[in-house]
Amino acid sequence: MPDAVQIIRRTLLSGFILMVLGTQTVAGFSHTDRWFPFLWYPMYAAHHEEGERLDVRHFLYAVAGEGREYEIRPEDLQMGFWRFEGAVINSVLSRKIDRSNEVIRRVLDLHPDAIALRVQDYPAAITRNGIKPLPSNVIAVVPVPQQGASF
Amino acid sequence: MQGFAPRARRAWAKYWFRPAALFDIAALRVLAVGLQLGLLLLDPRYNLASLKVIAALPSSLYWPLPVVHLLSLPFGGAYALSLGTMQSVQVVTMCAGFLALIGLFTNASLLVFALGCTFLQGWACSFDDIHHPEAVMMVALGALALGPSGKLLSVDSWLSRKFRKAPAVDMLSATSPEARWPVLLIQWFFALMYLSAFYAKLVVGEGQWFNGYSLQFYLAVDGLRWGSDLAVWLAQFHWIVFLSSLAVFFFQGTFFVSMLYPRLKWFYVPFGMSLHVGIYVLLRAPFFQWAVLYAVFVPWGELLKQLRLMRRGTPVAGAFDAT
Repeated sequence: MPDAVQIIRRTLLSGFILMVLGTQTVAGFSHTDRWFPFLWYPMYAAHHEEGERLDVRHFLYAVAGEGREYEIRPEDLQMGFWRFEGAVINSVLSRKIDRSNEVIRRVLDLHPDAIALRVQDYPAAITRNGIKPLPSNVIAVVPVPQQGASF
Repeated sequence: MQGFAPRARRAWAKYWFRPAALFDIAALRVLAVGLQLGLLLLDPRYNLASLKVIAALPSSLYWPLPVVHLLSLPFGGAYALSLGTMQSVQVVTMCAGFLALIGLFTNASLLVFALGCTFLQGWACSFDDIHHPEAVMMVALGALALGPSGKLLSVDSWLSRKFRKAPAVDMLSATSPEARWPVLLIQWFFALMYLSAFYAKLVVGEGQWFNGYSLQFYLAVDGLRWGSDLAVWLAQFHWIVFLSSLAVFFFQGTFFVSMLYPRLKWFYVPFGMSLHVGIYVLLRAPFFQWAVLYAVFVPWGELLKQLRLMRRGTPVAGAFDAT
């Protein structure tokens, strides 16, 4: 016959089991990853079609006057690939490049003579027979606001 | 006629708290802690130097996760965390991990290690960059901390034998009613993760994920992004990739069935292990935690007993009980 301590212990452990599995069950179908370590798992889940351009990476350039331009890579900002795509590229694509945006300020600090930021896509698409090279398209050119100017 | 509640309670206890091999949970502790400690020490994504890189990120990226709010309370809250604090947490966590690995004060050190790892990982994820390999390891360490994972393969057990004159036991035959639930919990957690991935492919993939092109796309993207020539090469074979998509989709959607019919694990576990190795080789997605935690599906005690008996020339037929 289990003693009282064991009953209490088993009850607490059962509560822990239910909490872990219950939370993961809810999180797994909740479209959020804010409940770490209980997450949903949408890795590689989006569907793609033939002819779709590959989003291997975006190319970011600081455009200066007189035809000068500089490529900006994640390592220039001491960032990993994902943070660069998520924070920097998305800021430019959504045209949020005022200097109050700390991420963008770091980009502009690298090249104070920049008058615009330009983003290009990856020069390839997927086909039934594999990768097909394509020209890289300019997908955004966003003028850099002058110091003190607001958007 | 018996009521439902007592029967359900008995079934629950029989499922989660039936005696199981202590060796399995001890081996899992050594493997899981060993990997996690190795990552904290050596992997540039998790080591001490990585904290400096994360702390230097723009503060606008920082949106603390709820778990960080909770675990940072003793340090003044999520917005009061400094690089020095996080480095101290990492050092304490690594020390606790070392103790948990050798099995000294196993439950306490493992609990500190689990909480420390969750805190550090949660803090890193709070800078707008959440990944999926780590979460199951945090849960597994927590479960192992609450189970008898230090009863074998540990300094604790050695000390217990030496100073408390505890009787020597055959390591492979020793059992405990509490050795089973952590193993089952981690196994079920895998099933739920796969089910979530399956659901995401249905919802995010709008029911068309397995058209072949999706997986060709990912092979091409990750192949080019991370430099995997094999993935780029495989991306040109539509039918092979299409059939692979179906296999992955089926596997993720039905893995939980193997929890109900354990004999099916003979199919699902090797398939899953191959899948994770394949994902790493092809897509360079480092799910090391998942691969090592697959050890939870291996009945180590029975396996070694079989090997021992085979060496003596008397293997026991049907000895493996896939839990």
